Amino acid sequence: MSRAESLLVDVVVDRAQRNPEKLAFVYLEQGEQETDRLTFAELDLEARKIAMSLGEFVEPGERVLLIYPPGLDFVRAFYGCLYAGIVPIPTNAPGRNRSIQRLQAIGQDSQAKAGLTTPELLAIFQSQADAFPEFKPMQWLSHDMLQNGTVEQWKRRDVHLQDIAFIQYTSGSTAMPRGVVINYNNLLVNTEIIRQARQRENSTDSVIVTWVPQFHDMGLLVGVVQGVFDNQLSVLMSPIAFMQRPARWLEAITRYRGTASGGPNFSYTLCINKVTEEEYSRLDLSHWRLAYNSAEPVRKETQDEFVRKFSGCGFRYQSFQPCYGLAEATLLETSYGGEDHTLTFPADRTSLEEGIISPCENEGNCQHLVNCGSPLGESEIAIVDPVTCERCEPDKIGEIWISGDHISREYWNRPEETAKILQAKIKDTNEGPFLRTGDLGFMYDGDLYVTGRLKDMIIIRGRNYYPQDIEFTVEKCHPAMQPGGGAAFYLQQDGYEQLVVVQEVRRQFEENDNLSEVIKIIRQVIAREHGIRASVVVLIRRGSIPKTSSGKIMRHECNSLFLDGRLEKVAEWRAPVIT
Amino acid sequence: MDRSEIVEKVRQFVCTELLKKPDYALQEDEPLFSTGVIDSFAMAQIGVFIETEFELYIPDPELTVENMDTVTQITDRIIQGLQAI
Repeated sequence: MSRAESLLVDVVVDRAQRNPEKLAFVYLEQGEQETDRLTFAELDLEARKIAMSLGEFVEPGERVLLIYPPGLDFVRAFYGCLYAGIVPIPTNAPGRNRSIQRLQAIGQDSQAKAGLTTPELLAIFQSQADAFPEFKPMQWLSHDMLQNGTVEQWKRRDVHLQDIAFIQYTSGSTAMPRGVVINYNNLLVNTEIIRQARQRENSTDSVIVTWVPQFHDMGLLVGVVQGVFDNQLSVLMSPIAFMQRPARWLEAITRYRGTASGGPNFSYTLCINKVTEEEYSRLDLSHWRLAYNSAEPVRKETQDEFVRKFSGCGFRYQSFQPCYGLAEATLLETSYGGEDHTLTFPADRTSLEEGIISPCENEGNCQHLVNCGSPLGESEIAIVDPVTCERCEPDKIGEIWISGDHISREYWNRPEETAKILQAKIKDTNEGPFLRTGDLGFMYDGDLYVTGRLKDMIIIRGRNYYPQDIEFTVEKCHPAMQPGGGAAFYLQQDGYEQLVVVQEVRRQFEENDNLSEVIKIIRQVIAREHGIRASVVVLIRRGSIPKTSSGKIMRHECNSLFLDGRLEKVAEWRAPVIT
Repeated sequence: MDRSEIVEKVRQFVCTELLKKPDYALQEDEPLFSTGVIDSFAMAQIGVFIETEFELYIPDPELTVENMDTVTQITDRIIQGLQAI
């Protein structure tokens, strides 16, 4: 492989020389208006400029927090850091108090030398400097201070494949963020993996469209990195613009003839529920050949409904590509890109609750699990018992362990977690190192099926329930339910595990005096579909369930709010045993 | 509510909701779970049925195949619970 194909900086330089005028990035303000763009030549030039200015404040190898709202300045700064040999750490620009705490924790954990941000945010940080002593050792740099570098003086630094490219902080707990160190080799292997996944879609005319946050592994690697590697246009918009009016995402795909785009399962649900007839009439999704679906369990029902709603706009079922990956694997591990309809495994629900895979015999007791495809590149997957750390029998659900050169070698400054999570060995055979993903699933016919998160699993009287399955049942059971606004978890009381279900109610139903009837229906459906009784059902105000910045339900946080009595209740039912 | 009314409600629930055969002539002492006519999965539904219909909560440890195998047993447990209130 030639150098120009291996290191991201060389790739940009090469693109700028060969295709200087080719458009690399477009940003859509509010998801609609094109307010910023970069050709490959401009990207190269601006990265040089920032690299030269930044070099006056920060040494190569040191870390810098990138604190940017969604937009192309983030892209400029990210490449500027790489050009300077400085390690960028993408972060979520604070909007609420909580993210400032997280930012502080990341700054401290990474020993960042500087924070690079917009003039507006810089003013806020400076005015509140006393309130945040953790930021004291850091230098604050505003994006507009980095525009005076002499680009002619920039020299390519000698970079090795084992050098750190960037650090990706995972959304773990707020207090203890973990930095996944991604080196240039991880990045390169991951790029090849993505190329393999998008083989049927990839060409120089391909266009990537994404609203997924840039500080997130999916948003960063698909939206900011892959298009550069593959010499394509990437169209970016903000997650908030998408959430406010999901049709903006599909309109951007229409307008730019997007070929590769996607997000977690809930983004498809939002489109199903929110796109109006009038919006629908303007859509043309016929160029969209790769609709990836990952980062949370993929639902067959969602994909079916999405096709029903949008096939009239040219969307094809074959475009769906369920994927599995995580930040510790740089991004991607498996992907199903068959030309057939999405394959599913019809699993028997009762066996599933016992952690065993067997095909169901009657449809009523069947759960259709979505095929996430086989491991890409040279990576491997083992299904391992999370307790004994031995390989599982083929028909058993276990923790997904993966190996390959795209797996991060370390968490920044955390040798214990690095050894435990990134360098795990299978006990009886001593195979490894593997990444322990914390996700549960099984392999069937060489393909991966993901069943849920280990730490979220609800275990009641020895049976395993996946919260997302119960949440899905609840949100479908009555029109008052706000889709994507539910959390299921369990608590221990008097030695018994009790199921708790929290669900947001649509605004127009909040004052409805029949909410106790709605709760009855919820209890009945859960019993019918899952063979378990809810001990507590709480209906809460719309928009009040805790979610991560990328829209995932935070079940543990919801559990704490419940225990502290801080949920924004609209109605509630508790079994008499719950005090 | 007298016993026969409760029996009728329970019988109706089991036939319509669990057996899916509303016209089935279910005997009061016909075993449901132990013979495999109904999957023990449905025990939770019986629990919720008793909660919503009779406003009576049967704790999980009592919702077992031994305790709730026939319409008679289910009815007796409901009556016992209602008397205790």
